Amino acid sequence: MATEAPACDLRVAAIGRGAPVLVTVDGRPLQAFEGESVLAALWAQGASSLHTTARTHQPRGFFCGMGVCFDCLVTIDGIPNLRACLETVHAGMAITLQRDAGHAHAG
Amino acid sequence: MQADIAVVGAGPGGMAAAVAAAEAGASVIVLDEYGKPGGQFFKRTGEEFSVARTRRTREHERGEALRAKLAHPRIAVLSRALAWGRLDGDLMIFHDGRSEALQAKALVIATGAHDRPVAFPGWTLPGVMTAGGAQTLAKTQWVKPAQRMLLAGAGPFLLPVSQSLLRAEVSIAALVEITKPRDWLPHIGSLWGQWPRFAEAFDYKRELRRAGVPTIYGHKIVRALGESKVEGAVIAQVDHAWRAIAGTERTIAVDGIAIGYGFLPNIELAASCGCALRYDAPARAWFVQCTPDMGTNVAGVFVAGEITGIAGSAVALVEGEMAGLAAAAHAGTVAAGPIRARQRTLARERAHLYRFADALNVLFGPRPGLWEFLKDDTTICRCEEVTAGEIAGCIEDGCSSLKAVKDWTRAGMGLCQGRMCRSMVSEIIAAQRMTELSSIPFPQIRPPIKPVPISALLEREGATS
Repeated sequence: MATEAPACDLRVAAIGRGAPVLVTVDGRPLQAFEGESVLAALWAQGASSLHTTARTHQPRGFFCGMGVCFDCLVTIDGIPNLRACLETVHAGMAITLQRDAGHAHAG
Repeated sequence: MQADIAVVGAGPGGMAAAVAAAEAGASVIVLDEYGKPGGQFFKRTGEEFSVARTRRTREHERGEALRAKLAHPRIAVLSRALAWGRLDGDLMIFHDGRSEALQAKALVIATGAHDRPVAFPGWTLPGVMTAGGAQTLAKTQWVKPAQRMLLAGAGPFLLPVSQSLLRAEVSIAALVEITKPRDWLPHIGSLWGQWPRFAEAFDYKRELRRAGVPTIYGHKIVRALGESKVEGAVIAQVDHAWRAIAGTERTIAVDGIAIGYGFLPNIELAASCGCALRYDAPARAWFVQCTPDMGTNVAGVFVAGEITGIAGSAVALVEGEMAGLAAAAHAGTVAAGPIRARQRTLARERAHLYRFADALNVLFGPRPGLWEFLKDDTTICRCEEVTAGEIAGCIEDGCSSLKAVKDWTRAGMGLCQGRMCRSMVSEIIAAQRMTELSSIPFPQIRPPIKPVPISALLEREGATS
């Protein structure tokens, strides 16, 4: 599976990382590294809009980064509303960004 | 699951409590929502990363030393575990997709704090984040939150955050501090003698200076610019009440904004356990009311750290040890007599450290101008997308409590359960009805204190019926 060249990479180049792992975001492959949070993997490659809101369809990034604000919600391997900042990537992880629905999945 | 003592939170307070209790003979289970112990203060990068020593921060070694002590044979740490409430004396844990009940003779709650959310036009744009969130991404993941950032807030926490950002090669356009150095002068007396803290601050300032980061005093962030993400920040000079002064706005081109106007305590679990709360005027927030040995009005429930008052990691470590000792005495693994001398020493140390914390809280505590929402269409409740105008409208129509505003507008009804908007909604109610903020009570909190799948609740129903 070929990895798309990222538009940008916000990773600090001088830092050694874990083994490369491939995840998918909305079906497209994304390069991540073992030990990274899902938020870090998405944010590093310029995914500034992690979800769009239900009422006004506005893009949202992450806000608190520590599991309190529930603004970085993504669907991971079919489980909705997981906080990207608290989840760690694993090889083959299927991430789906929640568009216009985010909190509507609540439960 | 069973243990003499359950500790919730593995930050400085929780770790210190666990170690003290275990050394006093108790078996301890530590429950922590994050992937590894440390909490926010001692957060660190995973073992998968290799980071040069020069990039590590001063907390690193101390965090490692404390974490090593958690290897005590009587301590078990359960990471990625949410303690979501206490039912019939059992602590309910959501872990690995299912719910479990933990029976413990005593409970220590050390759930810490999060950055105080402060709304301004544009604050929901991707690229606007809390100072703590920016630091976490930079310091634990070595991912830049943005290429060029503005830091805006109040107080010394902005210094370690800017250090973490600089070491992650983020360019900092400016550090925007809302107070002015001359505001600090009347407090010099209380700060006298706290030399290690000054030395820390000077180290941080030196690193900022070397990186050429300007500090702009007496200003605050008033607007984030951009369509789908941050493209700029507008700051303005403030008056004594922290209101923006018209005509002093200026725009700074950045692609990220971090805000750090102090902290709010994570008191939801303690409140749901029935712990009495106290209103703290300088912080304009509610905290858990504690006894001199870190107990609460609920027998067997002890507290430590930021949920008792925003005082930093040094106080959390002391309070954690106090709570751990008192919990062990409550659980009967140690007699009250032998630990009394140590408790007295810790109480003295706590009082000394609190002089500094109290001074900082008064000096950098929020003032009413922080909540002048410039436009009615500024979002207050991020989850349910409720604006300042909608909230003001329902207060105008007679809503005077957090619950009434929530029922009417849905503000506070989303997945964060009001953690982001609650303090601001309270401020709007108090300002509009011209009452004291302390007259707006903290809402009734019921388990689950954070969202868990309905199946987790049904499991409990099945177990008890």
